[in-house]
Amino acid sequence: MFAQFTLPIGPFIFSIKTDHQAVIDNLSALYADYAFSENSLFIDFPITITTRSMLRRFIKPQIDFLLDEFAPFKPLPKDQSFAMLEWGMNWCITTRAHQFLILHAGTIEKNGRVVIMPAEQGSGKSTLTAAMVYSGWRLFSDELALISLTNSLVHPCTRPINLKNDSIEVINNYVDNAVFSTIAKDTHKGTVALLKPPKESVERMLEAAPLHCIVFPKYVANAQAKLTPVSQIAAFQQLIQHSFNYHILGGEAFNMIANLLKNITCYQFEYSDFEEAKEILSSLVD
Amino acid sequence: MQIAPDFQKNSKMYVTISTNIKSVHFKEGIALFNNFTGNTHFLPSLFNSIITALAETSSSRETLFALFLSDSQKNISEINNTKEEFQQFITEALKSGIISEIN
Amino acid sequence: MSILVQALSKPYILSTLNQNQWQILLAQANVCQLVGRLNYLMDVHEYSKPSYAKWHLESAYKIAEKQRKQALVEFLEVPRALKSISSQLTFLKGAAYIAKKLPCSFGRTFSDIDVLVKKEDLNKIENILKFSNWLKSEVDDYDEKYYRTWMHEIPPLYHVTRGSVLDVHHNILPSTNKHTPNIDSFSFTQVDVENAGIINTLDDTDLCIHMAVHLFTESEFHNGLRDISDFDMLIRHFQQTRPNFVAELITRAKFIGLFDYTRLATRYAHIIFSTPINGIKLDNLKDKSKILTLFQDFCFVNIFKPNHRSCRDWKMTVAEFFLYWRGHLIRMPLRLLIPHLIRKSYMRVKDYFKQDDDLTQLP
Repeated sequence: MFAQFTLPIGPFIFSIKTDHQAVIDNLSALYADYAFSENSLFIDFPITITTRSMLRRFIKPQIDFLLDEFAPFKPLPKDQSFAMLEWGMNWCITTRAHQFLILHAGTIEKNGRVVIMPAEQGSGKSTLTAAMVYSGWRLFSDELALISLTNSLVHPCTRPINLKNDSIEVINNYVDNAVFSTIAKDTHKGTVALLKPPKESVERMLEAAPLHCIVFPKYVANAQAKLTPVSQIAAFQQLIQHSFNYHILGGEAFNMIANLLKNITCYQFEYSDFEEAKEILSSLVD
Repeated sequence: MQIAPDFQKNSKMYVTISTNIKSVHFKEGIALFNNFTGNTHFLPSLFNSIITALAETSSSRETLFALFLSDSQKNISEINNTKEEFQQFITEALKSGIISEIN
Repeated sequence: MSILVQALSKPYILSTLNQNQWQILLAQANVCQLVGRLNYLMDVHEYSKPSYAKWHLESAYKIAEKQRKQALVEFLEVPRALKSISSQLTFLKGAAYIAKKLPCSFGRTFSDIDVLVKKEDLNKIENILKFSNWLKSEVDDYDEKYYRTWMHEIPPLYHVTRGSVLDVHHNILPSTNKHTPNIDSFSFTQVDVENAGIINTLDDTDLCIHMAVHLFTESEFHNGLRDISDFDMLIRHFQQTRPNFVAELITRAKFIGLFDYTRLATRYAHIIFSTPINGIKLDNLKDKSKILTLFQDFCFVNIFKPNHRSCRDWKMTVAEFFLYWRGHLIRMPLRLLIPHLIRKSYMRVKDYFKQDDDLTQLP
């Protein structure tokens, strides 16, 4: 039996159809605060999570991610179904939504000002994002910064936060009543779980805001929180490295980044403690 | 002591910035986008005045080198290093399509 | 008739659709890689795009534009790399449409850049390209042999830094085909491409004929609708300056011995898109045999459809089956075809059981 969820996520409407109980349970738990309109919506991404092969329903069970009728990835073991859904949703956005410059970055907002935190995989940006959005910041995304090419505003893409390995424990301790998805072990990223986003962030998912600051975070054990200014040229190069679609957008993206950099400051950010991080980041937007 | 570097063999050639190039100056350097190749290049601010000059009009290598030299404000004794730096820039910039040679 | 085919035949329909219809249209267009073309048609006719569809249309167009720009760079770089080769280098198919700035090139996505060279120069070219950072895609030894011997190309080459893919051909049809026209019977023309220089390609009629030959010797039609739509747009475009273009095309096709493929393309473009065929009767584009005409009509009218659940039916599945065999039999005699297909099936089954080990594709 297939269940269907229509999920408005920032500028996009996803439809998720699935006959896998684990996916249904996780969707119900993590997307509980998402509002659905009564009006029929135009679906940007019709997704199905199922097992196409009869054989693989029973023998070494696996799961398929489909965008409409197309499977962009090879199947994964069944217990990674919810993680696969989230990776698939990222793929949909990063390969298609070229009305935005899309960066691989944690994105948070406070006082109407957006801070984008581009970082390498495994640098702690998702953990930092999770800690900040449960300390007064609004969640735009832990993975994707969407900067509109029309008006240069940053748009939220509010979804559950991806946490890996030790971060799961760390955030569980830091956040009261944290709600997690089922934990998936042995994925290509290690042990993965998704954290339910704060209710207020979900309710305000359509509110875009201007970019104020770019911060390149790096978790350094026992380090005191420290901001070091980064030159605009160095930041420009980093942004290109961390973008998903700069090479497709070309001149449009070049011009927009050049204009943005003229008006914002960029920093390297070393931290180890969340309270210190909170204070320093807040000082940037006060 | 040789002060004026020898560009004799290239003295007929003018250097021009490609019409496909959009350049943006920042404090620490220049970002350039080549609309034909789709490539993005970055130059240190050392080359600011060369790029600015080329944006206005094509120039000979001598003119550009003179600009570069005065900008670098190096000692006479470092002139050969400066010349090398300049030559290297010209070679790389030609290779990546930022500038081209015309008669 | 599917919404997509209706929209391509009569673009004014695009200005009348409601939200539900757009939902279906975009789903069909996505499967057929035609979203970019829809954007082009809307821009050309100045129709306003509904807010929910706008970004879908324009994003697909941006991707196609990026590919266009890559091709333009290769028009400069490939001849430059091969400047020591004295014989002609000719760009074909999608690359040719781009060089000639044809309407069908806008918003059109493609995977490879096709280039035609002389067979004698093939080895030398392969070596030069290797040293210019063009590497072979990973194919197993059998596929490589198939490519070289039975198809008319070396396996596709990809450029290490630029990412473009090059298909180098030495003939227009595979070697085993009964009708192997001499390459020299084709007419070439030169186009001046901005920033790249003079590019060799086929002239207008031969471009259409070449396209028709390729389409009607296929065994799989994943891009079938896009290709027949390309043909429709080519004809309509050339007719603007040459009102008798279709008649000239048919005459030319007969002259170089490729009438059959050309008439198939013309017949089905007309049936599906109502492509104007001034001065030619549809009846004259039938096969001589009544049975073959029925067979071809059934197969091609049903294959040139979006392969999407919104319009898929049993006829399309049957057409796929028939055309799969037709395509293979055209290109390979039966005695070679059977072992080839057995080998392909074996590889597919092997792949099916290998799946677990390969997780490289995840983001």
